Amino acid sequence: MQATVAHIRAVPRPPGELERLFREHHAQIFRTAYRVTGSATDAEDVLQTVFLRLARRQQDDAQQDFSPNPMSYFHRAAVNASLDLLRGRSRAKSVSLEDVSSDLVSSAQLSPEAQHEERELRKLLRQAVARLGEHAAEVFALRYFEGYDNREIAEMLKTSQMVVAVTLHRARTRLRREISEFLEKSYEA
Amino acid sequence: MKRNHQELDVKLDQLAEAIRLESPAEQTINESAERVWARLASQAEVAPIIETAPAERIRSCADFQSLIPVYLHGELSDARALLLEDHTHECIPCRKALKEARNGARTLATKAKRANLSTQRKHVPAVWRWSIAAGLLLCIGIAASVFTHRFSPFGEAIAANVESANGTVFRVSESDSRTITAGEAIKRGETIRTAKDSGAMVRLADGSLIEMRERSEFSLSDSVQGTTIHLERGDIIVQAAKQHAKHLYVATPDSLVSVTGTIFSVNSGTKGSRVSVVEGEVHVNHSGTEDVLHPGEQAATQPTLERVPVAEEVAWSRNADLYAKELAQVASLRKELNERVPHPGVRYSTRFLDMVPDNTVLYAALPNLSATLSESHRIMQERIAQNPALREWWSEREKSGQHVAGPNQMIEKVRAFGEYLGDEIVLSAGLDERGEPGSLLVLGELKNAQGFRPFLERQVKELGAEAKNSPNVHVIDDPLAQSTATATDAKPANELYIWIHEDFFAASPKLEQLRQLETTINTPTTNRFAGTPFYTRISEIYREGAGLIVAADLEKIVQQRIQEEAKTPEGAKRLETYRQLGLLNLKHFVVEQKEGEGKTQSRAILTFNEPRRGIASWLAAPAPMGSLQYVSPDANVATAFVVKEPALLVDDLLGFMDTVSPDLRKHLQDLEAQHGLDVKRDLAAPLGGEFAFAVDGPLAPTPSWKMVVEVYDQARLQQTFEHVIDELNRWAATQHRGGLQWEQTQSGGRTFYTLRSVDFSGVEVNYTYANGYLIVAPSRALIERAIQYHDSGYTLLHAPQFTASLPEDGHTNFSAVFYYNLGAMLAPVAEHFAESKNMTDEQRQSLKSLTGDLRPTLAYAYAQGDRITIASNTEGGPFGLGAARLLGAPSDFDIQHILMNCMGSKNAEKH
Repeated sequence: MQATVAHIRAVPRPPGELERLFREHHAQIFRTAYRVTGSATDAEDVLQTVFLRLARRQQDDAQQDFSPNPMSYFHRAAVNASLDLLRGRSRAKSVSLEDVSSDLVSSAQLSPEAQHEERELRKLLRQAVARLGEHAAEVFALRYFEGYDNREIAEMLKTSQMVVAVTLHRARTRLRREISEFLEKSYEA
Repeated sequence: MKRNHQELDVKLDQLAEAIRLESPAEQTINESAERVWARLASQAEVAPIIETAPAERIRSCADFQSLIPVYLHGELSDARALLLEDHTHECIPCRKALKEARNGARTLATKAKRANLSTQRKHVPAVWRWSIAAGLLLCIGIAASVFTHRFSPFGEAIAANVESANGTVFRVSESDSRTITAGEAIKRGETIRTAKDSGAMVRLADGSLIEMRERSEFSLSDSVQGTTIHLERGDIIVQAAKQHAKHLYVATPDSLVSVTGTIFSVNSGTKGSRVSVVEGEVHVNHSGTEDVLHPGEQAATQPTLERVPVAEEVAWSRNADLYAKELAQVASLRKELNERVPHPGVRYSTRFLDMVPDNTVLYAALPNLSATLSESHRIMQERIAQNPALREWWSEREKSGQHVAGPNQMIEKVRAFGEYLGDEIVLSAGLDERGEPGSLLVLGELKNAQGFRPFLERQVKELGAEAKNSPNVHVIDDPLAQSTATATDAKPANELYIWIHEDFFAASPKLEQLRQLETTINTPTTNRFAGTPFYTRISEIYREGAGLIVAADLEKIVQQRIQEEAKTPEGAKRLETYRQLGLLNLKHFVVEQKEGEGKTQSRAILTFNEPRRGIASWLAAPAPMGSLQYVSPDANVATAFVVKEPALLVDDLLGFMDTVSPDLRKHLQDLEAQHGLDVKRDLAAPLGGEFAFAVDGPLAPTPSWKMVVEVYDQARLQQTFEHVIDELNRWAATQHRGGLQWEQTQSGGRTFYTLRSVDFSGVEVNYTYANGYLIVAPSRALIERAIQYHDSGYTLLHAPQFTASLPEDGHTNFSAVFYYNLGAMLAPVAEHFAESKNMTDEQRQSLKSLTGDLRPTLAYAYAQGDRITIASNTEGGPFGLGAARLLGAPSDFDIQHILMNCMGSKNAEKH
């Protein structure tokens, strides 16, 4: 029955095209995924996912997906694949409260323990971002992890700057709340 | 340990920045990349890819419907999924199809489960319809998860809470139904139903409140556009919370209702649906048409469904009495303050004008507002004591320290002073020899001169006891007889001399000022101020009746400035620039506000000492504005103005440029020669003298702006445009950019031009010429709509909210007009900026109160030979000095807030 709805086709591979894209963009995708997930293993998975998807879709809609340029397409793809990965995982387990410190000092002159704690707080932020809505998480990651400005994000997501600004504002409100609740709880603990 | 916003904001930024700077080692990247590439290469060769066959390009509803199976499968690209979601929001047949497909997926799923799945594998011919059904089967397993996933883009499983349940309320699912109690959460996609003789209050995550009547049923879903209440049947009343960038929708089988924050009821039954509005504005889409409803109005989807009075339609509500009564009570307070409280009358003469010194450049006169203030205060306190809703609001307000200018003590003090004071207080300031403002003098009428001195001395003593830095007050009997010894000892800044003479008082930080005053009073002929044009101008205001006056003698200030600037060569150059701008001809600036016939009239008038010239003369005399006929009554912002000949404007500008930088003009001439263009001849000359700009329609994804410009020579202007774009594209080519693309389409005997950016997709400008106007907008649909407004006469010029704010005066036209209805549009933006850490608390506060106070406002200007008058006729005037506002009486926004609050608390009390 599957045959009636779906036709089976081999992976379209314009000779060298995929390889060229991989060569040009793998480092950037890996770095982005590393920032969003915070782990090299995860980043590797993301890199693989992004290119597997690309290989599958290339012939059909690669052209339209690449606009305005492949760079931002890969940025988005990497951010989204990373968020998907975090989302899948956060359902399975969540970070334990005792792991995380409530220190509000900057990480520059920290003791090794404090640095470890600071890293845990980053982990919390990453998971909290993944728990935002799909759209909000993507916008937040592009803005604050990847450093795009609101105008660029609006162009990439084909929406208005106002929508981006409002989304960011809501995301920040929620993240602030999560951080605050978390710090309070860890203080009590 | 609680942390405040700023701390958390800083922490959030720090964390994000730290994450942004994290980078893996080059080696890690390279090793990972090698492994991934190896796996890709091996997998890619063997892995078969499942491809469904959706429409290649979406052109029609059929194409949208062909996407549904793939969408339910969860494999539609994000962009297309968005398009589909968006489309099904607007298009009822497609929404039906989507719903059927979804239900189909479920029924098929159960059937398939019952039969043994493996035996069902048989070949079905590749007929399109069957392939859809088969596609549905394919996605059985994941349909449900995709469904919930898609519709909860913000990751919150809980969509609403049952605040109170009265009788029996069910949660209905395919297999069973279970009763739910107050306090339980409802997830997205779940259906809840009220039994007979039951009711429920459901609070959505955004704060909106849904009241359900008996035998009603709905479910909730979310999309990027907002939350949708799917009303299967029954009656609901929705109190929609303010929906920032999104909308709240109610979808019934045959209509779609969209709102941004109002109270309305939807009744969906066998015959059809009926929507009634209690408050705000509601859009109803049904049978291919859109109705816009206002309070008291109603729409039905079927002609067989008769209209019933709105009050009757919501009569089943437990809040029915509240909707009617509370609103009326609170709103009447403001009306009472504005209309019943006596306002100080206008004054037709003053003796103080003859007393101010020769060198006066600033003159301000205030009526004695103390009676108005204390009477308003008394009424407010009375109402607050009577009305629990108001009382709650007031105490909340006092706690937050917001705007409450009326603590009892303060009002008492103002009232006490007011008892002694007469009708007017005047403040004047002069220019001293160095051109600095100085020689302050305050003059006030006294009603009770004998009692004033002891009262004043008592007050001064109290003040001295309370504050350390209070001025050193001297109450004197005769300035000329007073020795100056006391004055020279202390710092003059901290001295205050008050002279009570007959039935008025005069106060100044300088004794000299009072001496001069006494001389003037003794021998009135010594005052040279009486002969000046500034004196004449102010007495003119009194002749017409004065309320509040602020007047400035710009001529004198300008003269002073000229003398200063003329001393240096740079200054002389600056002077030439001012001359070109027409600023040296400024004469007087007057702001006045007075009460009359329940309306506050305010205006500002700028006069010139010869016919206006330079930039000040660009605004033409009042003239009809046809351009506004292309703007709809729903516009957020609309502004229009008439100018003198645009070509002359160019001359003025060039003259101005000469004074700033002669090179600039040369540069422009070079540019003109190089590109074969003459700005004045080719661009300015074809234009008429009328311009309008409006933001009219939805703001997202692209703000619906439009520009309407009067055109005298359409052919030449079009030729210029084409020439400019050609030149631009030629330049873009040298920069390896795509430049701009032209497109021309004929429709209804009209040519529409589209300019599209090749480099930035989605950026385009459309325009056409209609009835001697050039109409520009971001999309062709907006232009066509603008022309429809014009042809149908459904325009801003005839909208009640616009005509109601028109001033009562002799003018039939304006030189410029600015209309705005911004509240709803600015709120999300302001909220965003209010959170920005670059702002001070004060700025945030003012921003917040700004968005709260916004309501449709009309400001306008008249330009006549030697003056420009700017005015606004809305309540409180542009300067917002109504007694009600000063005392912190509730604004429209506050009233809504009170209403919402008291409804919320009433509901809480009931369960």
